[in-house]
Amino acid sequence: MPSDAELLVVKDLTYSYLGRFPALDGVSMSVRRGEKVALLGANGCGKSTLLKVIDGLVFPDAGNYFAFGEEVTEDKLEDRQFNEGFRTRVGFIFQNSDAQVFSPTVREEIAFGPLNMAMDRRQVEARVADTLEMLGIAELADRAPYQLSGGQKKRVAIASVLVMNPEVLLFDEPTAALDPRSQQWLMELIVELSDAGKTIVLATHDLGTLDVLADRCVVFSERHQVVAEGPPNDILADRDLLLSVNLIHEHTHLHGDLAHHHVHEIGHHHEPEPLPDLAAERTAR
Amino acid sequence: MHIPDGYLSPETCGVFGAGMVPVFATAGKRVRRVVKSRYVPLLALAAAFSFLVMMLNVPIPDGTTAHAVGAVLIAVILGPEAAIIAISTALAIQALFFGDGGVLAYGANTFNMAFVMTMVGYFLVYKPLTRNVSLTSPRRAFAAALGGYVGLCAAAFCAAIEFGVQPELFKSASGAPLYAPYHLAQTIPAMMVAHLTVAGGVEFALTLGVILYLQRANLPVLRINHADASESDADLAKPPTRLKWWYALGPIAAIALITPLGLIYNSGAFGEDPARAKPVWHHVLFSGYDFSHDKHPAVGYIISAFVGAALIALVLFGLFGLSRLVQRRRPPAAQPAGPTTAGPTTLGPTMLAPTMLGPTTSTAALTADRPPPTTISPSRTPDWLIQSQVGMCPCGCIGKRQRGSYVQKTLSGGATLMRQAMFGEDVATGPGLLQRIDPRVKLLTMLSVLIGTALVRNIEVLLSLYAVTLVLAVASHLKLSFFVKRVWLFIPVFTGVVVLPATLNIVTAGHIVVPLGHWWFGHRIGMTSQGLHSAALIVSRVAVSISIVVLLTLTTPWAKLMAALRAIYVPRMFIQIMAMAYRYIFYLLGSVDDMYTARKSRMVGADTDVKAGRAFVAATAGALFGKAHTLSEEVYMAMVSRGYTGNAVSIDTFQVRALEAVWVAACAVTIAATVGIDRAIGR
Repeated sequence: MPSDAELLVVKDLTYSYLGRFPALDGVSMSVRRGEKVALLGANGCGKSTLLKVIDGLVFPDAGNYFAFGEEVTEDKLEDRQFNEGFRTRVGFIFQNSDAQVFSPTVREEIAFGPLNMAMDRRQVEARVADTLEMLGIAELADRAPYQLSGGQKKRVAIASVLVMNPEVLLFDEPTAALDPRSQQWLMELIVELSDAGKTIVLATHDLGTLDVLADRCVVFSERHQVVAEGPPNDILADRDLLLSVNLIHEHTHLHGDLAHHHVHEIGHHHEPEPLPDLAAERTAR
Repeated sequence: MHIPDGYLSPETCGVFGAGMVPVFATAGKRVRRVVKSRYVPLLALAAAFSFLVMMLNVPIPDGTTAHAVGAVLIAVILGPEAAIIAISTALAIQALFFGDGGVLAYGANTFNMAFVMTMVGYFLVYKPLTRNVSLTSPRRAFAAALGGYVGLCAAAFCAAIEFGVQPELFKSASGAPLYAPYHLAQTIPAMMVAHLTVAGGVEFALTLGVILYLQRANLPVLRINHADASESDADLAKPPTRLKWWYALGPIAAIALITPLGLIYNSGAFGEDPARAKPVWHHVLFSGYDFSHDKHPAVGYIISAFVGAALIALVLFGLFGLSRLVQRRRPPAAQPAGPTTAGPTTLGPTMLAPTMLGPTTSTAALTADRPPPTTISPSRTPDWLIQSQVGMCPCGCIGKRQRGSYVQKTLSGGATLMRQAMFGEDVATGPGLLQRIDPRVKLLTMLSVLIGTALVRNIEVLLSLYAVTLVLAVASHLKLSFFVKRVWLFIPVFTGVVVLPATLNIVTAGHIVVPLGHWWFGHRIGMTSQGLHSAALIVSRVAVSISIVVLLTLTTPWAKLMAALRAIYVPRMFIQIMAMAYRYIFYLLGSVDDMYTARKSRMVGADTDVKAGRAFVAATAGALFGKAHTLSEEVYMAMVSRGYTGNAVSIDTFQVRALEAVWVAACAVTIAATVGIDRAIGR
């Protein structure tokens, strides 16, 4: 029933943790092929959970999830062939890199996915080498992941997913806890991947990067429901909406003797300089 | 309780090693079937957890240490098979990487701490006590804690026996012990006192803390191994059977009946020689465990045992009754805390009132969602921070240092651990002779040399072997001072202190060469030549053994070592768990450090009673387990996301070249030469 262009479709998803703490309450949305979609919302609104559902890691209490025209269920993922097919096509970069890098060395970490896909050894080694080169972490190959810095761990985590060449890339809070340079690098990478035809879904509450990272935004309320959808500029312009979902807050400033209230938003206060240029470049392309 | 190499004869190690193989095989098979692949990360975490728990140790003077293990705790959460695997993993990491516990003695160590402890604590104590007990009942937590206590003591008892039989079974022609020098009469009391009191107490508190925490904060974790236990008391059709006092009679009677075993040793217990004793208390009931003037020693012994046990039982039941009274007064455990429950606790700042604290509004907000006193929530607001500024003494003269020292010790141990690991990796990837040898070959040859060392009975031969390890260290570009320090400062000095008493004539009979005076009830005391000889023998053997293991681990990156283990047919699952556990150790150490720092700031001026100190260990452990579980879920998801379905695959490849062939030949010659020369010299 989902149309061909709609790569991922979720319908009326309901999910709660331990059967008590709701995370998704009747969420419906879809992602088209080659699109960049941002899931927007305050902490704890359910966007990470939705990503986990999309990656087939947790399964909804109610509702359906279709990927590549087929419904994804726990039973179906038990099937070896379906599992392999689905896992190679969807990659997930977790917010906590510490959870994602668990192998004894960086090289093994990156080889983990392809090896699980029963890929030929020599091919795996070649791919791992390419990926290391591409992300500029070749010199880290024999280090243990726990010895790396936060930014390096993120690169390793991304490499470990990219090496499988997935069609869809899911990012959970991609720029969180990264220094400005790494943030910039990651944003450029995401744009590059999108240009290469990858479908991108990312969860974020970083409004400053939206115009670069997303073609479309899906806004979650703190009641775990989708409240709005649209292009980043429309969403960013709707102050009342952003206020209501707690993505921005009212702030009092003192300018000399004058006290004034204004809506405070992260992106507007320290927006990285090159961002608008990058966006302009892309639209020009 | 870690038995180092050199304390047990190779024969003993062989017996235990061989005995543990079917145990590992069965446990591994059952884990594969019972514990789903999704719990593999949790299993690794359990191993890491146990590793950390075992770092809290105190040395006891018979060659080993007392510490908690956590085996029964893991058995309760993940099942007994998983506990055996997890503890064995932790022990393997310690033996291979940190020189704690021997490589050859691995079989004996796993037998005591993984197998005996789990079996006794889980099947003999926990299971019978929790029949028909709901999952959230405090009785379940207490049963688990008791299981941990009993299991640990049983494990310690086994270790004591293993040590104690060494001087009986393996001695030189002149009668000097070749391996551990202490007799059963010395090892059993030494081990049991330490474990019945300190280590057992820690184990009890730890198990109790974690289970109570899970009951409140994370019930699904407890469900893993208790799929059909009812959730609360209300679900139970009939009320849970009360712990009947006569249940205790069985085990007590069994122990009493085997007491005549003590009569087998006619030499009398350590320091209990009646001829030398000058009793000050003459009103004993059964003097010397006897009342028929030695006509029927066995009968007298048994009756004494029963009377003694009855007396102890009376005291215990008294304590049990008291604890029940205390329990009844406590509010129901699982109730969520309302704003009003932030009442007076021993540690709470609420009694110290708003005048001392900051703005009252913020304080109220902070204390409002405070959990009840015994609940540990990782997200607990540090509301004491405000108060601690008031009470802070800048010179640190409050005198609370000792209370934290237990924890402090572990933390500084953790820091050392990290440094070692970091430095170790640097050297291991550097150039050098040993670094160039294939890890598989290195592992197997080093193991053979280790066995060869255990067979040596002459100090001269051991010293030349030690010289060989020094040469190897230099050839591998290890800094000699670092290598020597690493070996001697760490373990053998400790061993030296431990074997020192064995040189005295009160332990090892013989010719006194270093008289020390007349301290022992007017008897001459001094070091005997036999005692000194066996002490030197054991110290040098331990030093060589540790040198060999340190050489192996310092010149092999952790990942390569894992791969080598895989190459010699150690099961995949075991290695996967070990590799993950190793990583988690660092993660958990970081967490403990954070939590300790965060908590310490809240403990200023409030840390006055012993209970609070004990509570901290239990509470930290509980919170840590919660954190660790969250992480393990995430790791599992990350693995599944990349196609993991329960089979671990690796990319490693090995090559065997001429260098390896030469190395193997050299090792074979060395072993043959040492053992040959050793036997030729005789003694």
